[in-house]
Amino acid sequence: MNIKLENVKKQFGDTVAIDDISLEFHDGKLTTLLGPSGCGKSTMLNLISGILPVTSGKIYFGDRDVTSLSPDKRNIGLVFQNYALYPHMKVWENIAFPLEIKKVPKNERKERAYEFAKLLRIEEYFERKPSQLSGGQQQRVAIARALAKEPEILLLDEPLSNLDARLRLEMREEIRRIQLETGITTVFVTHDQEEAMSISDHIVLMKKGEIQQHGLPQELYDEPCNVFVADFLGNPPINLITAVKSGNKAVTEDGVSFFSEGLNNVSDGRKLILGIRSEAFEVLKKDEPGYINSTPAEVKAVFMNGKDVLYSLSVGSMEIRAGFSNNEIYRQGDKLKIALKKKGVHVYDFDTGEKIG
Amino acid sequence: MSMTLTQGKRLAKTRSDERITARTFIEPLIYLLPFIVVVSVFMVYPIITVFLNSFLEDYNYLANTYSGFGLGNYSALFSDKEFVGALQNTFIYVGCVVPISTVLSLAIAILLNKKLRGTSIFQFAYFLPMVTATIAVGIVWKWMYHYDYGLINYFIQVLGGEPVHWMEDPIMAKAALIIYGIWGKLPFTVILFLSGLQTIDEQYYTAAKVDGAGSKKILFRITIPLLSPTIALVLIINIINTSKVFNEVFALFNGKPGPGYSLYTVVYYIYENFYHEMNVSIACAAALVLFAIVFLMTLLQTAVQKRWVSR
Repeated sequence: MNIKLENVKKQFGDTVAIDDISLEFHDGKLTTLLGPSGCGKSTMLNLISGILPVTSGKIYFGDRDVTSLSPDKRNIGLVFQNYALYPHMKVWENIAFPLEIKKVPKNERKERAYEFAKLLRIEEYFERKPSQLSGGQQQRVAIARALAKEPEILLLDEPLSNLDARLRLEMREEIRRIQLETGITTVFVTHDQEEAMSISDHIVLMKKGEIQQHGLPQELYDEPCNVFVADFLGNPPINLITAVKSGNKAVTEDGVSFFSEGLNNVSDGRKLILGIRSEAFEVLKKDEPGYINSTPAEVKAVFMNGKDVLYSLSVGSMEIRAGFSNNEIYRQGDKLKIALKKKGVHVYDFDTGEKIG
Repeated sequence: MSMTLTQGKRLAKTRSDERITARTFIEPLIYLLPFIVVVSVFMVYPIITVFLNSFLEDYNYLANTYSGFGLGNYSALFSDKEFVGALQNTFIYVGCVVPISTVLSLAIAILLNKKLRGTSIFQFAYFLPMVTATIAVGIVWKWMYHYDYGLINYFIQVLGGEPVHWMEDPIMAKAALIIYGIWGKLPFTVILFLSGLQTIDEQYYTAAKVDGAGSKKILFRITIPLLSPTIALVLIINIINTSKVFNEVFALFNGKPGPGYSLYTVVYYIYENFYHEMNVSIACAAALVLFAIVFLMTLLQTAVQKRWVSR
């Protein structure tokens, strides 16, 4: 089921939470609403679920205008951050509660609850109370409950943020597995960019009630359209360097210069922000082309994480995070000459933060 | 709950490693002394005295003489028609006031919890009984129940009914007392229910509503089960309090136990035997019987509660 928002606006008193957003969520895909806290992503989810009414604009599920429908008439499954499992009901009663409301006979209810418990791999806890389950298991029950009434749309409101790091990884794979298995149109809210990057078909990145950029996860990572997007996505975080265009290079306040092809279209003397991914640096040797234009750096610290190495370099008075794809390992105090690759370097206007090259 | 209990036990265990010496025992004792003295004088001593007095045979309060210990007072009690009648009246009162006031309070608390417009006015109205003295309000109710000038009879007549002898007819007097009793029990019960309701996470309701649950379903499948610990508490407190009914009778009927002793309750019986007849040991025995009954009811109640309270 396609979800379409048309000029949707939500105000709480004078505060604008969602500012005139038009957007489409694709059928059968997992779309993530991503953003820092207070960006309006949960509000957006609540507008889609119907828990909150829109101030203006329209919401369509497929061809159906659901703008003024109450949540129960929208045929959605909702998973809450703290699960909201009924503590006095057994696991199966929790899963079957939406069916109980629909007056499905008890035997059938239990059977269907069992199917979903199996899908979520919690059938062995069928007769337990939620308080006897771990956080991850509780979240599985909550997802099973949301799926039990066979909704057309599954909405998940920060479903993993109450879990510890390991469970979070496991559950996000589970959510992805179940979403692919059931093919249900899913909207997933999170503030964790890594989570979003790893499970989404589509990411909508928001800030202060406005969409900053939306598209495939890789698109957002490779071509962030402004400083905010560049800064928000990616781990380690992107290096943001304030500089002024001068000739074919960008020069920082303390005289460090970087050469980049992305600067070609920028007018001389313009103040800008260079966004450089850690993997966009390379180390040049004496006889390699471009050595003359390279930037001197010194290794300040080395971070090994098993599969690759991250360096903290001091360049001028700045600290820069960089990783290199050559197989050499540098040590603290090593002096390097670094240059920028083509990919992973973005030029933004200093004042607006918009991409200019 | 169980978590904190076990933690408490663990704490107690580690503490017990300290050896108890004269100093570690006596010093805290000195700090506790004022409290121990007050509790002993005003609570422990009277309880023991009541207990002992109830077994004294042929006790003369003024001369402080008695012929021995025995169960004579208890057999005298149960062969006393007045006491049996008082027990009956008390049971009827408890049996009517507790369920009705509980259901009514729950309904009021749920309405108040909805944060609708005008709830503050309702809050004021419902909490009024709590801030007023039973005796003072009893006088007002006495007027409301008045056959000729009472508000209640006035409304009955406006609605086309026959005026009722609230204060004179023994049966209607019971009804009058019960209504007054329910009214008096409301505020405290409502407060307990309100605080219980506020511990229920709003998300349970949201989740149920998204799934399409109607208000009846939400009430019986979510609100009441989640409120069951509070309901149990309210029942226990109200059973204990209503069993001791006395002020209400005293206030409503000018210090008499209803028309023709028709509202003679156990506490009234204790009161009369103690202050008017000087049957101190009979009064003590009656007090203990009442205590035993209330205690049994509470035990029964907790046993039932264990089976259906689910949180």
